Amino acid sequence: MTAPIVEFKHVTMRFGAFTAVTDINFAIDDTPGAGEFITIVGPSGCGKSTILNMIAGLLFPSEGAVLVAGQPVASPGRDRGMIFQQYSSFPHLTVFDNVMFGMRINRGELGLDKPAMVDRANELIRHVGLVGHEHKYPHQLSGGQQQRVAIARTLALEPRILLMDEPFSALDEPTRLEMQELVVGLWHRIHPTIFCITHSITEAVYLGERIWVMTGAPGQIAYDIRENIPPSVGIPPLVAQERPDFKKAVQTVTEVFRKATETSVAPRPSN
Amino acid sequence: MKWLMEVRGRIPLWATFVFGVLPILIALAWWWENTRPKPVWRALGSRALERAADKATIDFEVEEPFDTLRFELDAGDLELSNIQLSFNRGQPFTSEARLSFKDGARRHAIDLPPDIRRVRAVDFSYKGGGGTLTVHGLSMTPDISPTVLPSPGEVLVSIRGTEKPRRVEGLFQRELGANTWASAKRVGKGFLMAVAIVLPLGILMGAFNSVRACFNPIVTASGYVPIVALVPLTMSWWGIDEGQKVNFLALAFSIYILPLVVKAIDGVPDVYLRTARTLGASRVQLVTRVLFPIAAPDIWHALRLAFGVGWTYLVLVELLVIEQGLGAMIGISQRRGPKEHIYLILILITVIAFVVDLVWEQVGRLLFRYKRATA
Repeated sequence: MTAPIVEFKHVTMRFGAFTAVTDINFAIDDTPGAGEFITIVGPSGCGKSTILNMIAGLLFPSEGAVLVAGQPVASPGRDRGMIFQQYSSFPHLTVFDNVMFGMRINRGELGLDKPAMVDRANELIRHVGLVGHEHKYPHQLSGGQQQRVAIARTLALEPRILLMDEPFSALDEPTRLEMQELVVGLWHRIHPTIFCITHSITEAVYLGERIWVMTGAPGQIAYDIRENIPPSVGIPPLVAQERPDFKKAVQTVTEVFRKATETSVAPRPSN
Repeated sequence: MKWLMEVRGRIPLWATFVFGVLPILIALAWWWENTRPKPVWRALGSRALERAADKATIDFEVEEPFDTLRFELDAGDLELSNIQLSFNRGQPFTSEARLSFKDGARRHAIDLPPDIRRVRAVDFSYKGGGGTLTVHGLSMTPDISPTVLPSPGEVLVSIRGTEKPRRVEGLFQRELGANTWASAKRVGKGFLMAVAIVLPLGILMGAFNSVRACFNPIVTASGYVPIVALVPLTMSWWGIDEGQKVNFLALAFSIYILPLVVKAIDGVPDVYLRTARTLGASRVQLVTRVLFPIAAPDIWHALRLAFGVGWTYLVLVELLVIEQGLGAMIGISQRRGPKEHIYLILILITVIAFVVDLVWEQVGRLLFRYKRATA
């Protein structure tokens, strides 16, 4: 049996006196070619980002162990790509060079020659719908296009795990819907394991096949909803949202979310 | 006209232009008006003539050169006949003029040639009551002495120099080109020295808190060091030759640039670093491929500002140790004249700094094309 792709064992994270998350436990199965899409919702400050940052290797737990493919996370690595809410396209590089960035700095390890890198970059640019924008600089792009660059750049390294920290929060509604469809499509094609934080329950239901609802202060994964989440591959968000099973799922998650928020309002001794 | 005093209001383009030119015009007008020769009459001396006497001699000494002398009589009750005047230009009295009072005129005046040293009227006769005989000098004097502020005309004339009334060197006869080149070389050398040291140091300080902790106290303190006071010190450290000047400039540049480089690196948003790390960037790559290139436009801007300020320090150091350079020319003009050249050199330095700044800007635009706004 292979080790879980991501495993948290009694993970607690403290920042000084503040406990961000406490006693987090989960194990996501390693199923190559069929990674799960997990969306995480929860009240602000419940430690959603902390969990992602620990998987990414940008933060390390105060207690417990974070394992990726059975190995404790010691640093960020190209096997775990991350997309942030803030636009992160390098301002001094064109779209093409941004997509090439990760491949260039990992050239030795990837063992790709230049034509192969260029091919992969162009293919990804096509996948995220940026053909014709290759030689533009980020300041010439819209917010949605910038996030497309970030996605293509991350996927260029073919990460097993994709971490998305509210990737569409800064976008306007139509762009957000477009991006949701794009991400679901890409996930279906590449099938990495995705952890995606969002503050929109509709988005969580549309994107994820598994939804975690967190409670705050200190954060815990209170509910793990896996049943009755309708698949959304190939269905535009606006169409999917109109379906009864989708509405039902949103309703369920909303109720759970409310319950989770109520629990977290009750002050807990944090010692 | 509501826009005139609107907080952050937009003003029309023409107003930007007019408002910008207005102070300059006012300054020029003030300069012209206050350095323009204006007629000033001054009494050189007077002599009261008493009743009953019938003969008098007056003798005035003219101490300063006047553009015009005027012999003026306020005769009162006197009845005067011809007065014979004698002038003196340093030699025995030579020229003569006659001042006649006809038809019982009470006041009369004649203008005398300039550069007269003495005016004398000997044994002239008069009748009647009493009166006063006065000699006035007219000089064309600006409100502000030319030694304090030469007029625009004088400044312009001093570019070519003059032969008369006294020989004054023109600006270009003072090896202006060589001096400018000497100054530019010093600024350039000092600047390159400073950049070579401070740029890597600043980047390391911005990137690594350990390096920053190490140098921060010195950098913070050096911000408060009066750089002017370092000039005499650098003279004792490095002598008074070329090295001292370049080293001083390098020091001044460094103190100016270093905090700005650190600030530029600090200004790189964290998200780029996090992104690069999740893409597998090494520490060296984080510095060379993320921090430095993203901060580069700000660093460029800092260098550009510093280069402009550098000319200030240049003049300072060249003034104190006079030996070639535009600052030295200012120093010499201050001591030996022509003072007009100080103004010209100031303008020249301003123009050079302005032009060089334009070059910095344009090169910056070429280098950081991606920085340009979308619009």
